Amino acid sequence: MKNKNTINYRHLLTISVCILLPIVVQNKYYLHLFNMIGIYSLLAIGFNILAGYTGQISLGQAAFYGIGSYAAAILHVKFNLSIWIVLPIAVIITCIFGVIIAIPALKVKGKYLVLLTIAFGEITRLILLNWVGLTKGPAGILGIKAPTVFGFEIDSPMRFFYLISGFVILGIIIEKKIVNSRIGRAFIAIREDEDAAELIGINLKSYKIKSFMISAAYSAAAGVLYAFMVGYISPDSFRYDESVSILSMSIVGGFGTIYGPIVGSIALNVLPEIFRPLSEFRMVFYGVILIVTTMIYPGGLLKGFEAMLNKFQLKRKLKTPKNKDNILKSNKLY
Amino acid sequence: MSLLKIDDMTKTFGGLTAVKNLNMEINNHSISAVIGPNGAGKTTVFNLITGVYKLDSGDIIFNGESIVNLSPDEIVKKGITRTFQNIRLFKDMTVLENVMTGFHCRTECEILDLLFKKNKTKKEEAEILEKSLKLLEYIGIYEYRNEKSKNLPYGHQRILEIARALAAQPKLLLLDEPAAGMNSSEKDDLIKIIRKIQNDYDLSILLVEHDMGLVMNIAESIVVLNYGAKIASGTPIEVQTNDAVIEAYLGKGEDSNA
Repeated sequence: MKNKNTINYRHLLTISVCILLPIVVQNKYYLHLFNMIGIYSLLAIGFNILAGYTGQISLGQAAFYGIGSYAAAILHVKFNLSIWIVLPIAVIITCIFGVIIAIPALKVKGKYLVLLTIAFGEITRLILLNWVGLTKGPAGILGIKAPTVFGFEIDSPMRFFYLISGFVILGIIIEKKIVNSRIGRAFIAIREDEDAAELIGINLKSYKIKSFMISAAYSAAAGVLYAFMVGYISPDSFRYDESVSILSMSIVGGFGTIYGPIVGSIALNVLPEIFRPLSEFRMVFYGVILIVTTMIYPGGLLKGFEAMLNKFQLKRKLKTPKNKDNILKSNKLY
Repeated sequence: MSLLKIDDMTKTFGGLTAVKNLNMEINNHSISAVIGPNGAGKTTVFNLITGVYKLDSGDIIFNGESIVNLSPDEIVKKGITRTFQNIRLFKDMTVLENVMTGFHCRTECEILDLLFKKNKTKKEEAEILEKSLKLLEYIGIYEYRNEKSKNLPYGHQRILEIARALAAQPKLLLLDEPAAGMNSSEKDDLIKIIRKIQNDYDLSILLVEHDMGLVMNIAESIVVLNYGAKIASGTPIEVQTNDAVIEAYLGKGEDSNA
Protein backbone atom coordinates (compact mmCIF):
# COMPACT_ATOMS: atom_id res chain seq x y z
CA MET A 1 0.00 0.00 0.00
CA LYS A 2 1.36 3.36 -0.94
CA ASN A 3 2.40 5.07 2.24
CA LYS A 4 2.63 8.82 2.17
CA ASN A 5 5.86 8.63 4.11
CA THR A 6 7.76 6.69 1.46
CA ILE A 7 9.96 8.71 -0.85
CA ASN A 8 8.13 9.79 -3.96
CA TYR A 9 8.74 12.10 -6.86
CA ARG A 10 7.86 15.20 -4.86
CA HIS A 11 10.49 14.43 -2.27
CA LEU A 12 13.07 13.72 -4.98
CA LEU A 13 12.22 16.96 -6.70
CA THR A 14 12.59 18.94 -3.49
CA ILE A 15 15.88 17.31 -2.63
CA SER A 16 17.22 17.85 -6.15
CA VAL A 17 16.30 21.50 -6.07
CA CYS A 18 17.95 21.90 -2.70
CA ILE A 19 21.15 20.24 -3.85
CA LEU A 20 21.37 21.97 -7.22
CA LEU A 21 20.18 25.45 -6.35
CA PRO A 22 23.40 26.82 -4.80
CA ILE A 23 25.39 25.29 -7.63
CA VAL A 24 23.23 26.89 -10.28
CA VAL A 25 22.90 30.18 -8.48
CA GLN A 26 26.39 31.22 -7.51
CA ASN A 27 25.48 34.79 -6.66
CA LYS A 28 26.18 35.26 -2.95
CA TYR A 29 23.52 37.90 -2.55
CA TYR A 30 20.81 35.59 -3.83
CA LEU A 31 22.10 32.69 -1.77
CA HIS A 32 21.94 34.85 1.32
CA LEU A 33 18.37 35.69 0.34
CA PHE A 34 17.53 32.00 0.06
CA ASN A 35 19.07 31.43 3.45
CA MET A 36 16.91 34.13 4.98
CA ILE A 37 13.92 32.53 3.26
CA GLY A 38 14.83 29.31 5.03
CA ILE A 39 15.15 31.01 8.40
CA TYR A 40 11.86 32.83 7.96
CA SER A 41 10.25 29.56 6.90
CA LEU A 42 11.09 28.08 10.28
CA LEU A 43 9.77 31.17 12.04
CA ALA A 44 6.61 31.08 9.96
CA ILE A 45 6.04 27.39 10.68
CA GLY A 46 6.37 28.12 14.38
CA PHE A 47 3.85 30.94 14.13
CA ASN A 48 1.58 28.85 11.95
CA ILE A 49 1.33 26.04 14.47
CA LEU A 50 0.45 28.44 17.26
CA ALA A 51 -1.83 30.76 15.34
CA GLY A 52 -2.86 28.99 12.15
CA TYR A 53 -3.61 25.64 13.74
CA THR A 54 -4.30 26.41 17.40
CA GLY A 55 -5.82 29.81 16.85
CA GLN A 56 -3.61 31.65 19.33
CA ILE A 57 -2.62 34.78 17.44
CA SER A 58 0.77 35.87 18.70
CA LEU A 59 2.56 39.03 17.68
CA GLY A 60 5.51 38.28 19.90
CA GLN A 61 7.35 35.63 17.89
CA ALA A 62 10.40 37.90 17.61
CA ALA A 63 10.86 37.31 21.33
CA PHE A 64 11.36 33.57 20.85
CA TYR A 65 13.54 34.25 17.82
CA GLY A 66 15.68 36.60 19.91
CA ILE A 67 15.85 34.43 23.01
CA GLY A 68 16.96 31.43 20.95
CA SER A 69 19.50 33.50 19.10
CA TYR A 70 20.96 35.17 22.19
CA ALA A 71 21.01 31.99 24.26
CA ALA A 72 23.04 30.25 21.57
CA ALA A 73 25.31 33.23 20.93
CA ILE A 74 26.07 33.84 24.60
CA LEU A 75 26.82 30.19 25.33
CA HIS A 76 28.94 29.88 22.19
CA VAL A 77 30.99 33.00 22.77
CA LYS A 78 31.41 32.55 26.55
CA PHE A 79 32.11 28.83 26.65
CA ASN A 80 33.21 28.14 23.12
CA LEU A 81 30.54 25.47 22.64
CA SER A 82 29.69 24.21 19.18
CA ILE A 83 26.38 24.83 17.49
CA TRP A 84 25.33 21.24 18.12
CA ILE A 85 25.48 21.78 21.86
CA VAL A 86 24.08 25.29 22.05
CA LEU A 87 21.21 24.54 19.67
CA PRO A 88 19.33 22.09 21.92
CA ILE A 89 20.07 24.19 24.98
CA ALA A 90 18.79 27.34 23.27
CA VAL A 91 15.68 25.50 22.15
CA ILE A 92 15.00 24.25 25.68
CA ILE A 93 15.54 27.70 27.19
CA THR A 94 13.18 29.25 24.65
CA CYS A 95 10.58 26.54 25.28
CA ILE A 96 10.67 27.46 28.95
CA PHE A 97 9.89 31.02 27.94
CA GLY A 98 7.15 29.60 25.76
CA VAL A 99 5.58 28.14 28.88
CA ILE A 100 6.13 31.40 30.76
CA ILE A 101 4.14 33.39 28.23
CA ALA A 102 1.62 30.62 27.70
CA ILE A 103 0.40 30.72 31.28
CA PRO A 104 -0.99 34.26 31.26
CA ALA A 105 -2.02 33.68 27.62
CA LEU A 106 -4.39 30.95 28.83
CA LYS A 107 -6.51 33.59 30.47
CA VAL A 108 -7.05 35.85 27.48
CA LYS A 109 -8.43 35.51 24.00
CA GLY A 110 -8.52 37.32 20.69
CA LYS A 111 -7.35 40.90 20.70
CA TYR A 112 -6.23 40.73 24.33
CA LEU A 113 -4.01 37.77 23.52
CA VAL A 114 -2.47 39.77 20.70
CA LEU A 115 -1.79 42.66 23.09
CA LEU A 116 -0.25 40.30 25.63
CA THR A 117 2.10 38.82 23.05
CA ILE A 118 3.06 42.25 21.72
CA ALA A 119 3.96 43.19 25.28
CA PHE A 120 5.98 39.99 25.69
CA GLY A 121 7.86 40.76 22.49
CA GLU A 122 8.66 44.30 23.54
CA ILE A 123 9.66 43.37 27.08
CA THR A 124 12.02 40.73 25.70
CA ARG A 125 13.58 43.18 23.30
CA LEU A 126 14.05 45.74 26.05
CA ILE A 127 15.69 43.18 28.31
CA LEU A 128 18.04 42.15 25.49
CA LEU A 129 18.82 45.82 24.95
CA ASN A 130 19.36 46.81 28.55
CA TRP A 131 20.81 43.80 30.35
CA VAL A 132 24.22 44.82 29.15
CA GLY A 133 26.03 42.47 31.48
CA LEU A 134 24.46 39.44 29.82
CA THR A 135 23.81 40.54 26.25
CA LYS A 136 26.27 43.40 25.71
CA GLY A 137 23.23 45.61 25.07
CA PRO A 138 22.99 47.63 21.87
CA ALA A 139 26.50 46.64 20.87
CA GLY A 140 25.31 43.11 20.28
CA ILE A 141 27.33 39.94 20.31
CA LEU A 142 30.20 39.55 17.88
CA GLY A 143 32.45 36.74 16.95
CA ILE A 144 30.06 33.87 16.45
CA LYS A 145 32.22 31.43 14.58
CA ALA A 146 31.29 29.29 11.63
CA PRO A 147 29.86 25.94 12.70
CA THR A 148 31.21 22.59 11.62
CA VAL A 149 29.10 19.78 10.20
CA PHE A 150 30.66 16.34 9.72
CA GLY A 151 34.04 18.00 9.50
CA PHE A 152 32.95 20.61 6.98
CA GLU A 153 33.25 24.19 8.08
CA ILE A 154 30.09 26.08 7.18
CA ASP A 155 31.60 29.38 6.17
CA SER A 156 29.93 30.33 2.91
CA PRO A 157 26.35 31.15 1.88
CA MET A 158 26.32 28.02 -0.23
CA ARG A 159 27.20 25.78 2.71
CA PHE A 160 24.75 27.55 4.94
CA PHE A 161 22.12 26.92 2.28
CA TYR A 162 22.62 23.18 2.70
CA LEU A 163 22.57 23.42 6.47
CA ILE A 164 19.45 25.57 6.57
CA SER A 165 17.65 23.48 3.94
CA GLY A 166 18.26 20.46 6.10
CA PHE A 167 16.65 22.20 9.05
CA VAL A 168 13.70 23.42 6.98
CA ILE A 169 13.06 19.95 5.60
CA LEU A 170 13.25 18.50 9.11
CA GLY A 171 10.96 21.29 10.29
CA ILE A 172 8.37 20.41 7.70
CA ILE A 173 8.56 16.70 8.44
CA ILE A 174 7.93 17.39 12.12
CA GLU A 175 5.18 19.89 11.34
CA LYS A 176 3.46 17.33 9.17
CA LYS A 177 3.68 14.70 11.88
CA ILE A 178 2.20 17.05 14.44
CA VAL A 179 -0.59 18.36 12.25
CA ASN A 180 -1.71 14.92 11.11
CA SER A 181 -1.79 13.51 14.60
CA ARG A 182 -4.08 13.51 17.57
CA ILE A 183 -2.21 16.57 18.80
CA GLY A 184 -2.87 18.40 15.56
CA ARG A 185 -6.55 17.58 15.79
CA ALA A 186 -6.63 18.90 19.33
CA PHE A 187 -4.99 22.14 18.15
CA ILE A 188 -7.49 22.57 15.33
CA ALA A 189 -10.39 21.77 17.64
CA ILE A 190 -9.21 24.51 19.98
CA ARG A 191 -9.05 26.94 17.07
CA GLU A 192 -12.45 25.97 15.72
CA ASP A 193 -14.40 25.94 18.99
CA GLU A 194 -12.52 26.04 22.24
CA ASP A 195 -15.48 25.25 24.44
CA ALA A 196 -16.63 22.33 22.33
CA ALA A 197 -13.05 21.06 22.35
CA GLU A 198 -13.02 21.09 26.13
CA LEU A 199 -16.37 19.33 26.20
CA ILE A 200 -15.06 16.51 24.02
CA GLY A 201 -12.24 15.88 26.48
CA ILE A 202 -9.39 18.13 25.35
CA ASN A 203 -7.48 19.85 28.16
CA LEU A 204 -7.20 23.41 26.88
CA LYS A 205 -4.44 24.53 29.21
CA SER A 206 -2.22 21.59 28.41
CA TYR A 207 -2.56 21.90 24.66
CA LYS A 208 -2.23 25.65 24.48
CA ILE A 209 0.99 25.38 26.46
CA LYS A 210 2.23 22.65 24.11
CA SER A 211 1.43 24.83 21.14
CA PHE A 212 3.41 27.74 22.57
CA MET A 213 6.32 25.43 23.29
CA ILE A 214 6.43 24.04 19.76
CA SER A 215 6.21 27.54 18.35
CA ALA A 216 9.05 28.62 20.63
CA ALA A 217 11.17 25.66 19.56
CA TYR A 218 10.90 26.46 15.85
CA SER A 219 11.63 30.14 16.46
CA ALA A 220 14.60 29.29 18.62
CA ALA A 221 16.06 27.02 15.95
CA ALA A 222 15.66 29.84 13.44
CA GLY A 223 17.36 32.20 15.87
CA VAL A 224 20.31 29.89 16.38
CA LEU A 225 20.82 29.43 12.64
CA TYR A 226 20.57 33.17 12.14
CA ALA A 227 23.19 33.88 14.81
CA PHE A 228 25.70 31.46 13.31
CA MET A 229 25.00 32.54 9.77
CA VAL A 230 25.43 36.24 10.26
CA GLY A 231 28.09 35.90 12.95
CA TYR A 232 26.75 38.87 14.87
CA ILE A 233 23.41 39.62 16.55
CA SER A 234 21.92 42.67 18.20
CA PRO A 235 18.53 43.51 19.69
CA ASP A 236 17.78 45.33 16.44
CA SER A 237 17.15 42.06 14.65
CA PHE A 238 14.34 41.13 17.02
CA ARG A 239 12.00 44.07 16.88
CA TYR A 240 8.22 44.06 16.69
CA ASP A 241 8.26 44.42 12.91
CA GLU A 242 9.89 41.01 12.68
CA SER A 243 6.87 39.55 14.42
CA VAL A 244 4.65 41.31 11.92
CA SER A 245 6.69 39.99 8.99
CA ILE A 246 6.41 36.47 10.36
CA LEU A 247 2.66 36.84 10.72
CA SER A 248 2.36 38.24 7.20
CA MET A 249 4.33 35.38 5.69
CA SER A 250 2.24 32.81 7.45
CA ILE A 251 -1.04 34.43 6.42
CA VAL A 252 -0.10 35.22 2.83
CA GLY A 253 1.35 31.76 2.29
CA GLY A 254 -1.65 29.95 3.67
CA PHE A 255 -2.84 30.20 7.23
CA GLY A 256 -3.24 26.82 8.85
CA THR A 257 -1.61 24.83 6.05
CA ILE A 258 1.57 22.78 6.16
CA TYR A 259 3.44 24.43 3.29
CA GLY A 260 1.91 27.88 3.64
CA PRO A 261 4.79 29.20 5.75
CA ILE A 262 7.30 28.23 3.04
CA VAL A 263 5.26 29.80 0.27
CA GLY A 264 4.75 32.92 2.33
CA SER A 265 8.38 33.18 3.23
CA ILE A 266 9.40 32.86 -0.40
CA ALA A 267 6.76 35.32 -1.55
CA LEU A 268 7.48 38.03 1.00
CA ASN A 269 11.25 37.80 0.73
CA VAL A 270 11.42 37.64 -3.03
CA LEU A 271 8.88 40.36 -3.69
CA PRO A 272 10.87 43.29 -2.27
CA GLU A 273 13.81 42.09 -4.37
CA ILE A 274 11.76 41.95 -7.55
CA PHE A 275 10.65 45.48 -6.93
CA ARG A 276 14.17 46.74 -6.31
CA PRO A 277 14.30 48.55 -9.70
CA LEU A 278 11.49 50.70 -8.41
CA SER A 279 13.86 52.00 -5.71
CA GLU A 280 11.95 54.23 -3.35
CA PHE A 281 8.57 52.89 -4.47
CA ARG A 282 9.36 49.24 -3.94
CA MET A 283 7.87 49.00 -0.47
CA VAL A 284 4.73 50.72 -1.75
CA PHE A 285 4.28 48.02 -4.34
CA TYR A 286 5.12 45.40 -1.74
CA GLY A 287 2.39 46.74 0.49
CA VAL A 288 -0.11 46.86 -2.35
CA ILE A 289 0.60 43.26 -3.31
CA LEU A 290 0.22 42.24 0.31
CA ILE A 291 -3.17 43.93 0.59
CA VAL A 292 -4.45 42.64 -2.73
CA THR A 293 -3.36 39.08 -1.99
CA THR A 294 -5.11 38.99 1.33
CA MET A 295 -8.21 40.49 -0.24
CA ILE A 296 -8.41 37.89 -2.98
CA TYR A 297 -7.17 34.96 -0.91
CA PRO A 298 -8.05 35.77 2.70
CA GLY A 299 -6.75 32.44 3.87
CA GLY A 300 -3.50 32.87 2.01
CA LEU A 301 -2.24 31.58 -1.31
CA LEU A 302 -2.34 27.89 -0.47
CA LYS A 303 -5.89 28.07 0.82
CA GLY A 304 -6.84 29.86 -2.39
CA PHE A 305 -5.33 27.10 -4.44
CA GLU A 306 -6.87 24.38 -2.28
CA ALA A 307 -8.64 22.65 -5.13
CA MET A 308 -5.48 22.45 -7.15
CA LEU A 309 -3.59 21.16 -4.16
CA ASN A 310 -6.03 18.35 -3.59
CA LYS A 311 -5.10 17.10 -7.01
CA PHE A 312 -1.43 16.99 -6.12
CA GLN A 313 -2.20 15.63 -2.67
CA LEU A 314 -0.36 18.37 -0.87
CA LYS A 315 -3.17 18.83 1.62
CA ARG A 316 -3.70 16.61 4.58
CA LYS A 317 -6.14 13.91 3.61
CA LEU A 318 -6.72 10.52 5.06
CA LYS A 319 -6.90 7.56 2.75
CA THR A 320 -10.06 5.66 3.55
CA PRO A 321 -11.58 2.69 1.76
CA LYS A 322 -14.53 3.33 -0.54
CA ASN A 323 -16.02 -0.06 0.00
CA LYS A 324 -17.17 0.02 3.57
CA ASP A 325 -17.87 -3.67 3.87
CA ASN A 326 -14.15 -4.19 4.00
CA ILE A 327 -13.71 -2.24 7.19
CA LEU A 328 -16.43 -4.07 8.98
CA LYS A 329 -15.13 -7.49 8.06
CA SER A 330 -11.43 -7.07 8.37
CA ASN A 331 -9.28 -6.62 11.43
CA LYS A 332 -6.68 -4.86 9.37
CA LEU A 333 -5.53 -1.50 10.63
CA TYR A 334 -5.17 1.08 7.88
CA MET B 1 -26.83 2.62 42.60
CA SER B 2 -27.92 5.18 40.07
CA LEU B 3 -25.64 6.31 37.28
CA LEU B 4 -26.18 10.02 37.89
CA LYS B 5 -27.68 11.61 40.97
CA ILE B 6 -28.37 15.31 41.17
CA ASP B 7 -28.71 16.32 44.78
CA ASP B 8 -30.50 19.53 45.74
CA MET B 9 -28.73 21.50 43.02
CA THR B 10 -29.09 25.27 42.85
CA LYS B 11 -27.57 27.76 40.41
CA THR B 12 -28.19 31.48 40.33
CA PHE B 13 -26.89 34.11 37.94
CA GLY B 14 -26.96 37.40 39.78
CA GLY B 15 -30.56 37.83 40.81
CA LEU B 16 -31.91 35.08 38.61
CA THR B 17 -32.32 31.56 39.99
CA ALA B 18 -31.79 29.37 36.95
CA VAL B 19 -32.02 26.03 38.77
CA LYS B 20 -33.64 25.65 42.16
CA ASN B 21 -33.06 22.70 44.51
CA LEU B 22 -33.16 20.16 41.74
CA ASN B 23 -33.26 16.49 42.64
CA MET B 24 -32.97 13.93 39.89
CA GLU B 25 -31.72 10.43 39.32
CA ILE B 26 -30.73 8.61 36.17
CA ASN B 27 -30.33 4.86 36.10
CA ASN B 28 -28.06 2.69 34.01
CA HIS B 29 -29.20 1.83 30.51
CA SER B 30 -32.07 4.30 30.53
CA ILE B 31 -33.37 7.01 28.26
CA SER B 32 -34.63 10.00 30.21
CA ALA B 33 -35.72 13.45 29.22
CA VAL B 34 -35.84 16.89 30.74
CA ILE B 35 -38.60 19.05 29.37
CA GLY B 36 -40.09 22.40 30.16
CA PRO B 37 -40.96 25.73 28.62
CA ASN B 38 -38.18 27.91 27.20
CA GLY B 39 -36.07 29.40 29.94
CA ALA B 40 -36.96 26.66 32.40
CA GLY B 41 -33.30 25.90 33.02
CA LYS B 42 -32.86 22.73 30.99
CA THR B 43 -29.64 23.67 29.17
CA THR B 44 -28.35 25.14 32.44
CA VAL B 45 -28.76 21.69 33.98
CA PHE B 46 -26.66 20.26 31.15
CA ASN B 47 -24.05 22.95 31.63
CA LEU B 48 -23.90 22.17 35.34
CA ILE B 49 -23.54 18.44 34.77
CA THR B 50 -20.77 18.90 32.19
CA GLY B 51 -18.82 21.31 34.36
CA VAL B 52 -19.34 24.46 32.32
CA TYR B 53 -20.96 26.13 35.31
CA LYS B 54 -20.13 25.64 38.96
CA LEU B 55 -22.99 24.80 41.29
CA ASP B 56 -23.95 27.29 43.96
CA SER B 57 -25.09 24.49 46.21
CA GLY B 58 -25.89 20.81 46.04
CA ASP B 59 -24.02 17.95 44.47
CA ILE B 60 -23.81 15.86 41.34
CA ILE B 61 -22.74 12.28 41.83
CA PHE B 62 -21.74 10.21 38.84
CA ASN B 63 -20.94 6.53 39.30
CA GLY B 64 -20.61 7.08 43.01
CA GLU B 65 -18.29 10.07 42.95
CA SER B 66 -18.97 13.77 43.09
CA ILE B 67 -18.01 15.55 39.88
CA VAL B 68 -18.74 19.15 40.85
CA ASN B 69 -15.12 20.16 41.24
CA LEU B 70 -13.89 18.64 38.00
CA SER B 71 -13.09 20.57 34.83
CA PRO B 72 -15.19 19.85 31.72
CA ASP B 73 -12.51 17.73 30.08
CA GLU B 74 -12.07 15.68 33.25
CA ILE B 75 -15.82 15.06 33.32
CA VAL B 76 -15.66 13.81 29.74
CA LYS B 77 -12.96 11.35 30.77
CA LYS B 78 -15.21 10.17 33.60
CA GLY B 79 -17.81 9.30 31.00
CA ILE B 80 -20.24 12.14 30.28
CA THR B 81 -20.42 13.75 26.84
CA ARG B 82 -22.93 16.00 25.17
CA THR B 83 -24.26 17.52 22.01
CA PHE B 84 -25.33 21.14 21.69
CA GLN B 85 -28.51 23.04 21.08
CA ASN B 86 -26.80 25.06 18.33
CA ILE B 87 -24.55 22.60 16.55
CA ARG B 88 -20.91 23.02 17.53
CA LEU B 89 -18.93 20.91 15.15
CA PHE B 90 -15.33 21.64 14.21
CA LYS B 91 -16.32 23.27 10.97
CA ASP B 92 -13.06 23.24 9.10
CA MET B 93 -12.49 19.55 9.80
CA THR B 94 -13.95 16.78 7.74
CA VAL B 95 -16.69 14.50 9.09
CA LEU B 96 -14.08 11.83 9.74
CA GLU B 97 -11.73 14.22 11.52
CA ASN B 98 -14.51 15.42 13.79
CA VAL B 99 -15.16 11.86 14.93
CA MET B 100 -11.45 11.11 15.27
CA THR B 101 -11.19 14.12 17.56
CA GLY B 102 -13.91 12.53 19.67
CA PHE B 103 -11.49 9.70 20.46
CA HIS B 104 -8.94 12.14 21.81
CA CYS B 105 -9.51 11.55 25.49
CA ARG B 106 -9.37 7.76 25.04
CA THR B 107 -5.94 7.83 23.44
CA GLU B 108 -2.60 9.02 24.64
CA CYS B 109 0.16 9.67 22.11
CA GLU B 110 1.94 12.91 22.86
CA ILE B 111 4.69 14.93 21.15
CA LEU B 112 7.53 12.78 22.42
CA ASP B 113 5.75 9.63 21.20
CA LEU B 114 5.25 11.32 17.84
CA LEU B 115 8.94 12.06 17.46
CA PHE B 116 10.54 9.00 19.01
CA LYS B 117 8.02 6.18 19.16
CA LYS B 118 6.90 5.83 15.60
CA ASN B 119 5.37 2.40 15.95
CA LYS B 120 3.27 3.26 18.97
CA THR B 121 1.99 6.38 17.24
CA LYS B 122 1.28 4.63 13.97
CA LYS B 123 -0.64 1.88 15.73
CA GLU B 124 -2.72 4.28 17.78
CA GLU B 125 -3.55 6.46 14.77
CA ALA B 126 -4.59 3.41 12.77
CA GLU B 127 -6.84 2.33 15.63
CA ILE B 128 -8.43 5.75 15.85
CA LEU B 129 -8.99 5.76 12.10
CA GLU B 130 -10.55 2.33 12.07
CA LYS B 131 -12.80 3.00 15.06
CA SER B 132 -13.92 6.30 13.55
CA LEU B 133 -14.78 4.72 10.22
CA LYS B 134 -16.73 1.99 11.98
CA LEU B 135 -18.61 4.54 14.03
CA LEU B 136 -19.48 6.57 10.93
CA GLU B 137 -20.71 3.45 9.21
CA TYR B 138 -22.69 2.44 12.31
CA ILE B 139 -24.45 5.77 12.54
CA GLY B 140 -25.04 6.02 8.81
CA ILE B 141 -22.93 8.88 7.47
CA TYR B 142 -19.94 6.95 6.19
CA GLU B 143 -20.37 8.27 2.65
CA TYR B 144 -19.77 11.84 3.87
CA ARG B 145 -16.58 10.98 5.71
CA ASN B 146 -14.26 13.23 3.66
CA GLU B 147 -16.62 16.17 3.39
CA LYS B 148 -15.98 19.28 5.40
CA SER B 149 -18.45 19.07 8.23
CA LYS B 150 -19.79 22.55 7.49
CA ASN B 151 -20.96 21.30 4.08
CA LEU B 152 -23.18 18.60 5.49
CA PRO B 153 -26.95 18.96 5.41
CA TYR B 154 -28.31 20.12 8.74
CA GLY B 155 -29.80 16.82 9.87
CA HIS B 156 -26.54 15.00 9.16
CA GLN B 157 -24.59 17.60 11.12
CA ARG B 158 -26.66 16.75 14.16
CA ILE B 159 -26.01 13.05 13.64
CA LEU B 160 -22.31 13.78 13.28
CA GLU B 161 -22.31 15.62 16.59
CA ILE B 162 -23.81 12.53 18.20
CA ALA B 163 -21.16 10.34 16.56
CA ARG B 164 -18.41 12.60 17.86
CA ALA B 165 -19.87 12.45 21.36
CA LEU B 166 -20.09 8.65 21.12
CA ALA B 167 -16.45 8.42 20.12
CA ALA B 168 -15.48 9.57 23.60
CA GLN B 169 -17.06 6.38 24.97
CA PRO B 170 -19.54 7.96 27.39
CA LYS B 171 -21.54 6.18 30.04
CA LEU B 172 -23.97 9.07 29.96
CA LEU B 173 -24.81 10.88 26.73
CA LEU B 174 -26.52 14.23 26.99
CA LEU B 175 -28.43 15.32 23.89
CA ASP B 176 -29.44 18.97 23.89
CA GLU B 177 -32.44 19.40 21.58
CA PRO B 178 -31.18 16.85 19.07
CA ALA B 179 -34.31 17.19 16.94
CA ALA B 180 -34.29 20.97 16.68
CA GLY B 181 -34.74 22.08 13.10
CA MET B 182 -35.35 18.58 11.77
CA ASN B 183 -38.22 17.60 9.52
CA SER B 184 -40.34 14.58 10.38
CA SER B 185 -38.39 12.04 8.35
CA GLU B 186 -35.13 13.23 9.92
CA LYS B 187 -36.79 12.92 13.33
CA ASP B 188 -37.79 9.34 12.57
CA ASP B 189 -34.18 8.57 11.67
CA LEU B 190 -33.10 10.24 14.90
CA ILE B 191 -35.43 8.09 16.97
CA LYS B 192 -34.08 4.97 15.26
CA ILE B 193 -30.51 6.04 15.92
CA ILE B 194 -31.13 6.86 19.58
CA ARG B 195 -32.82 3.51 20.12
CA LYS B 196 -30.00 1.74 18.28
CA ILE B 197 -27.33 3.45 20.39
CA GLN B 198 -29.12 2.70 23.60
CA ASN B 199 -29.42 -0.91 22.56
CA ASP B 200 -25.86 -1.50 21.36
CA TYR B 201 -23.86 0.61 23.76
CA ASP B 202 -23.63 0.35 27.52
CA LEU B 203 -24.85 3.85 28.30
CA SER B 204 -27.73 6.04 29.39
CA ILE B 205 -29.15 8.91 27.42
CA LEU B 206 -30.55 12.13 28.81
CA LEU B 207 -32.38 14.38 26.38
CA VAL B 208 -33.52 17.93 26.47
CA GLU B 209 -36.20 18.23 23.88
CA HIS B 210 -39.16 20.37 22.86
CA ASP B 211 -40.69 17.92 20.45
CA MET B 212 -43.25 16.22 22.68
CA GLY B 213 -43.96 13.48 20.19
CA LEU B 214 -40.33 12.46 20.18
CA VAL B 215 -39.98 12.69 23.94
CA MET B 216 -43.08 10.70 24.71
CA ASN B 217 -41.94 8.15 22.13
CA ILE B 218 -38.49 7.33 23.45
CA ALA B 219 -38.16 8.56 27.02
CA GLU B 220 -38.73 6.07 29.80
CA SER B 221 -38.82 8.74 32.45
CA ILE B 222 -39.28 12.47 32.23
CA VAL B 223 -38.49 15.38 34.50
CA VAL B 224 -40.40 18.60 33.95
CA LEU B 225 -38.83 21.93 34.85
CA ASN B 226 -40.43 25.31 35.08
CA TYR B 227 -38.63 28.46 36.23
CA GLY B 228 -35.74 26.32 37.39
CA ALA B 229 -37.71 24.02 39.64
CA LYS B 230 -38.90 20.48 39.11
CA ILE B 231 -42.67 20.50 38.88
CA ALA B 232 -43.26 16.89 37.93
CA SER B 233 -41.52 13.67 37.08
CA GLY B 234 -42.46 10.19 36.05
CA THR B 235 -43.32 8.12 33.02
CA PRO B 236 -44.54 9.84 29.83
CA ILE B 237 -48.16 9.03 30.63
CA GLU B 238 -47.94 10.35 34.18
CA VAL B 239 -46.33 13.56 33.01
CA GLN B 240 -48.73 14.11 30.13
CA THR B 241 -51.74 14.10 32.43
CA ASN B 242 -50.14 16.13 35.22
CA ASP B 243 -52.01 19.37 35.89
CA ALA B 244 -48.96 21.38 36.84
CA VAL B 245 -47.26 20.39 33.60
CA ILE B 246 -50.24 21.29 31.49
CA GLU B 247 -50.46 24.62 33.22
CA ALA B 248 -46.78 25.34 32.73
CA TYR B 249 -47.04 24.80 28.99
CA LEU B 250 -50.51 26.07 28.26
CA GLY B 251 -51.22 28.39 31.15
CA LYS B 252 -54.36 28.51 33.29
CA GLY B 253 -57.52 28.39 31.22
CA GLU B 254 -60.30 30.97 31.76
CA ASP B 255 -62.73 28.44 33.07
CA SER B 256 -60.17 26.52 35.07
CA ASN B 257 -61.32 25.75 38.55
CA ALA B 258 -58.13 23.96 39.66
